[in-house]
Amino acid sequence: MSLFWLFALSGSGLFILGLLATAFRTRALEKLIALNIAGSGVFLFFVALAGRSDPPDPVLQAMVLTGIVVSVALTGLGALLIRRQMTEGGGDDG
Amino acid sequence: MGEATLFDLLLVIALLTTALRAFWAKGSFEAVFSLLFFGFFMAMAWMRLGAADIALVEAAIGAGLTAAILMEVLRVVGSSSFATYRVEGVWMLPAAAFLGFLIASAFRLLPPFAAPEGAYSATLEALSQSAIGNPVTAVLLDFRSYDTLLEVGVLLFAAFAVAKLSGPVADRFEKRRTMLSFLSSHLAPVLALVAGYLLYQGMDGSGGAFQASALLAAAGVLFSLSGQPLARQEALESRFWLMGSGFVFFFLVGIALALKQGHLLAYAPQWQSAAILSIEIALTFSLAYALLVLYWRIAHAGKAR
Repeated sequence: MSLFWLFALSGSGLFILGLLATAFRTRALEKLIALNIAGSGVFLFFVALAGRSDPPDPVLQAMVLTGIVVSVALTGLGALLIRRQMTEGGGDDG
Repeated sequence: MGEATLFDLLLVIALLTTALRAFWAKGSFEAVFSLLFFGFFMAMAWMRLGAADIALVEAAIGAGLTAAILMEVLRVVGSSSFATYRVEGVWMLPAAAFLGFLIASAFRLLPPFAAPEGAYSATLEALSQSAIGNPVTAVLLDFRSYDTLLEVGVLLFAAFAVAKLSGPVADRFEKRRTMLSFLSSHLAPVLALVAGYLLYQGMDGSGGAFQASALLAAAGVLFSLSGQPLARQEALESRFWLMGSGFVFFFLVGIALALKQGHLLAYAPQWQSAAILSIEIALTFSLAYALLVLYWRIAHAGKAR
């Protein structure tokens, strides 16, 4: 099996499993974690795709690099909202 | 890219195991730690895929800062039942199966290997004429600089939102931790030095503004954890809007170039290296500032009450 297939397939698997976990975990913090892993699956697929050519396609690599920074922005904002909800009481049935 | 070795197989197994561990975690604590290890294995996967630039960012931001932020939330939220939602996603199962089918069909539509056509060969040709040796830096700050400008905007937007939503921050440093303050005061200069090196090296090798800012932010997180405040940390936190300066500089350079060259962020060849390096330096401070504000405000939100 080539590196491409190994990482592209596991990236796709991580994406789908991550989406499912985002839907099925009940706590907001764990949803955020699952979403992060789903995003990593997409990145893995992209970089595997970039590596099919030699030298690796820098456009795809640059997109993943910025994607990681955007996903930490998402995580930060989500984390703060969870924290605010905690200190002010909330959760739709908690 | 060649055949997969035993190491790659083990790496993928480790990735899947840590991910599944996070998905089926018994509590938030286990999920956060699984994500930390997942990020670590992802950084190794990037190296195997020949993406050193991404590996550096993943190790510092994906595994480091994300886990630090989530642990700060965990400290407050713990395993309480707050922020709990009902599962209303049974329809997600067929949707995920359909998505899997779509992805599998997309695999079949992929063009064969070694078909350097279209955008890829155009990129390679432009790269061979560029003064920037690192292809990823050239894409980020030259070919697709407009994308990068907006992406920095996204991070700053999130950091501004966090700073505004966190409310008043007070009572920051509960107690000094001797070991950690020793570590942070000795490690921070090294981290700053490596950040500077990565920033400059990013023109020709692996590195750049994103990697350098992630390291600077890591040094700040270390200081914050040690209970030993960074010099002027209070001033930095209260003037968080200064983190927008790198974006403004980037934007102004773009406008200036647009007036001169007729296109937004189109560099004249003789100014290319200087313009890109100065944008990278401004971005490094701005991004590190934004990442730190993200961490600080989340770590200390709501303590004023």
